[in-house]
Amino acid sequence: MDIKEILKKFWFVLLIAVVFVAFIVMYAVDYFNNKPVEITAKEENGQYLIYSIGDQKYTADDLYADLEDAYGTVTLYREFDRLVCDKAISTTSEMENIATNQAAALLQTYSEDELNPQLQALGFSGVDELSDYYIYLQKSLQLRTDYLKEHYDEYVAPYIEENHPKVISHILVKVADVEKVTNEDGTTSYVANPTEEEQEKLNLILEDLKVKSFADVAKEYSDDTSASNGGLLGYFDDTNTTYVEVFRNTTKTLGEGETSEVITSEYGYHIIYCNSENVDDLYGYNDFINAIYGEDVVLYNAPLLEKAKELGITIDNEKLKNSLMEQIAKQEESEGE
Amino acid sequence: MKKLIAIIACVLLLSGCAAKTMVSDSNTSIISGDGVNFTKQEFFERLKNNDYTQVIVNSLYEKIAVLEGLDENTINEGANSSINELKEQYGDAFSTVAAYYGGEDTLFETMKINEIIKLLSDNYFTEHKDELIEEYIPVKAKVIYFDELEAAQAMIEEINNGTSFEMAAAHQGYSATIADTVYTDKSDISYEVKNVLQTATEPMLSNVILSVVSATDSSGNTTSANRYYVVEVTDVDPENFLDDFYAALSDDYDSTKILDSYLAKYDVQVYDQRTYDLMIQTYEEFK
Repeated sequence: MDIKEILKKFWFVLLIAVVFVAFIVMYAVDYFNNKPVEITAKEENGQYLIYSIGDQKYTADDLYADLEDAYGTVTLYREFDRLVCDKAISTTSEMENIATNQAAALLQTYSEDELNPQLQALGFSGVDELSDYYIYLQKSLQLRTDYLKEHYDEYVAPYIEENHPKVISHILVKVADVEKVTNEDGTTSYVANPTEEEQEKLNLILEDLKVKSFADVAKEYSDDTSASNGGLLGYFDDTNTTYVEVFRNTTKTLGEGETSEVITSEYGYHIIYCNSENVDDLYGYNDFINAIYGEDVVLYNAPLLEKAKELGITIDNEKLKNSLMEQIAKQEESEGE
Repeated sequence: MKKLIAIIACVLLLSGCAAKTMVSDSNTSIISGDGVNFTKQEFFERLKNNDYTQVIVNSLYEKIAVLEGLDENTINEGANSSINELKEQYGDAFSTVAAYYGGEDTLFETMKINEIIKLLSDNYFTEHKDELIEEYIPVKAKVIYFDELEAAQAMIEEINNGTSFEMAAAHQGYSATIADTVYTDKSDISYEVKNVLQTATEPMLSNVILSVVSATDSSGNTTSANRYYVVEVTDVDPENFLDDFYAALSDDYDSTKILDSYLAKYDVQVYDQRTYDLMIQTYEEFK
């Protein structure tokens, strides 16, 4: 067979081959054009160099000293906290599941490029350790929760006494036409002018609440996004400023298992239910734990230092250790002012 | 075959080692106990996870200051003078300002770097004087405007009759201080005025220059107003006002360009991957 015959017989195969080769060449060119530059380390007189400029050298030790000055305390604190939490609390499969779900949810919102620098600054290698980061957060919270449980009389009981924490749920019936009224004493209240449909919905809810659980009724009727979760809003205490005033004032009066009267806000009708005031339930809410620690840096670090002592984990570098302790003391001082 | 695998493994191992910058006493323990041994090298790697571009930039300025032979006393005096200015400006609140920078020592180091940047910028401007003049076309001029055409016309007439620019302006009710300022091609000033400034070949007094400005009020309505400029170009030879020109440049000149030029001048060489990856995003000569 001569060339002509081969071309005639296998023209399609040859065409595919040419296209295939072209793709490979294009890919190779693109790869080499965008290939990351690989930097080779250099050692001189027993010191690794970061860079040289003219006859001036900047060594790894110089960089270490400068970075220790700039970020040493905060980086050491993170690492110490992470190591102590890891040693103090075993990873459970439940923690792993929660962390995996949280990581997946975050990755749906942010790209790897956005998350990597933030995770690296927190001492993690990048998104490949995103689940580890969430496990660490759970351990850190548990460490601090366990500490509060052990020091109930000292910290938890006074907080409960003062701020009446509770877990709450609510049902919302949205009313389109709500009138704002200024009362004689200068306070504001709201008067709803419901449509027939809105009023009927409220009536149905009130009837159903007599025979069904609050969560079931909320799930069936509530116009709030919490409906799918049985109306559960979660943690609430007297320091809350998130909800509208009438809602806050009503919630404050509720004891465990109590349901409020129908109240009116600019959003419509609300019925609020107090699920629990039991401290064991409250421990499950980050907001409760964070509220007790508040901005008390010394208290926040007490579980860490106590557990580290118990485990025999120490910071061996005196300079860094002193700097960290000074920093904690300084923060406490500035918050006390 | 076994030998080949061993050789390949060794090469891979060596190339892996070569890519890692080690700190001295790398095995020294930073945190230990209960099976934990967090070493100085691991701490170094963690520290390097921060974005430390500014740390490297500051170190570069210090090295370049040495290479350029900048006088240390001048740098220290400049830093002290800046700190004294802050003390005067903030009075009793100075300690808060210093604390914001991480204490007085850190503030002094920051001011030293600022002084080095200023001196290096001046050197750079001097070295690139001709191209900067060509690019920026600097002139020195007095520029004011009125909302009324009549005021601008009357002022020009008065100057032509021998009254000074300042006095003539005052006679028209202009009360602000009039500075003899350096204007360049990049100055934030109306196009019409800039055109007059850039085409002046000798000191001159302009005619009334009309410029229409638009503004949007709080309700989103756009309004326009006439401004009547009077311009006196006082000097068109930048050699006569180089210091003022450099001072004007240092306010808005891209400092990245200046550092890059010094990196190229002294042939910077990088030996650390992470540092390279951070710096190359901003400084194209850091390679």
